[in-house]
Amino acid sequence: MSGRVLRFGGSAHADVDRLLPWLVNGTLQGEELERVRAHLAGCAACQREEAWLRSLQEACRTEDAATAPSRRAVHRRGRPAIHHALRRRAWQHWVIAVQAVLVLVLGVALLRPERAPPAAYHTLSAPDASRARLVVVFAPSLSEARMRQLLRACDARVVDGPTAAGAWVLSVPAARATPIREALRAAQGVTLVASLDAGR
Amino acid sequence: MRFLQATSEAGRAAGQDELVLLERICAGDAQAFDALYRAYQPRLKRFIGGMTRQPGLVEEVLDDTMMVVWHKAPTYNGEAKVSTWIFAIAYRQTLKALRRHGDEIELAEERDAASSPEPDVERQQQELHRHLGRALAGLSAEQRAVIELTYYLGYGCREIARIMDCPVDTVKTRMFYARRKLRTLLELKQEEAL
Repeated sequence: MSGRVLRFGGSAHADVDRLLPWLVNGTLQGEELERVRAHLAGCAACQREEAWLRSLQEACRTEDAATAPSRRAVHRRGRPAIHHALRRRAWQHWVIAVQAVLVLVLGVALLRPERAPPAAYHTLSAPDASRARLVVVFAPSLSEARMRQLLRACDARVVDGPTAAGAWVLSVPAARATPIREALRAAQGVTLVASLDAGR
Repeated sequence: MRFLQATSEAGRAAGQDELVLLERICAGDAQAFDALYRAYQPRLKRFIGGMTRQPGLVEEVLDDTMMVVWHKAPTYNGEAKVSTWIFAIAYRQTLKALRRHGDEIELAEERDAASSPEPDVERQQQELHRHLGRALAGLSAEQRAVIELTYYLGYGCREIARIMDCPVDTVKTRMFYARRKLRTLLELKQEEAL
């Protein structure tokens, strides 16, 4: 508080005057109550002040009746925001608990002795349903750059080659094997294209 | 919590009920919190509204207050009544909110020191009822807090000192200047009305 704190060691009148609000609200007790009553009996100014303070108290309570929400209004408005906050916190606790369980499960899984899944070995010649194999013979004059360009365009990978006859075995997406084969056949610098897979 | 050391007044039925509620709140019982909230909501709203004179702030400060009650319930030590403890929290939260909104908390009492004319009791009573709201708005938040705690909530001087965490003489000083300021403002309102 920035203002002065009054010292109430002065006159009996001033001392009683400061206590009047609590005489009015009925909380004054003991020696203070006796002293105030004794002074009040003979002091017209304090009597007027007491009357005014009683009016103030009544006005304060009346003002409350006009502004404070009724109990019914409180219930009608539903649960206040803080309950939502607390419920949100309860919900957050559940989330945290679930997260903790997940972390625990993950931790246990990671700490278990590592057991590698059975290795799946594939030979280059092993059939792969998603890929089709083509045998391609390029013209001797075809540059390496042009060959790479053709392979990229066909999404082809070199599986084998070149053979003694100069042939390459390519792996291409099975779903597009036919158009790729046709495109390679039409491409300049490609002398032979044939499918190695039965029925394709 | 040292519930057994609660004051004798808090030993009354209502006080005991509140102590039980606080104990349950300590254990995280949301239903107990709900009951305490509903018991205190009207009084707290009135107190916060009276202190701030800003209806828009009331719900915010009320929630802040009850959130502190929820979190700090284990720190209640029974030295004061539960209601005194809760209103002390509300008082501090209201001051915080007013500071957040850049409001003036205190008024230099010297500014209010002008003497007022001798009252005409009958006339002033009528003016009081008519202009009280606006006159209260002219007081500082701390002065309004003393008025609210005394006249609406019916607290004694020492209990108010506990709530406001200040000496008893400071409470008397705030009340003294609040009364004087109210008189002056009501006089002004009366002159404006003429």
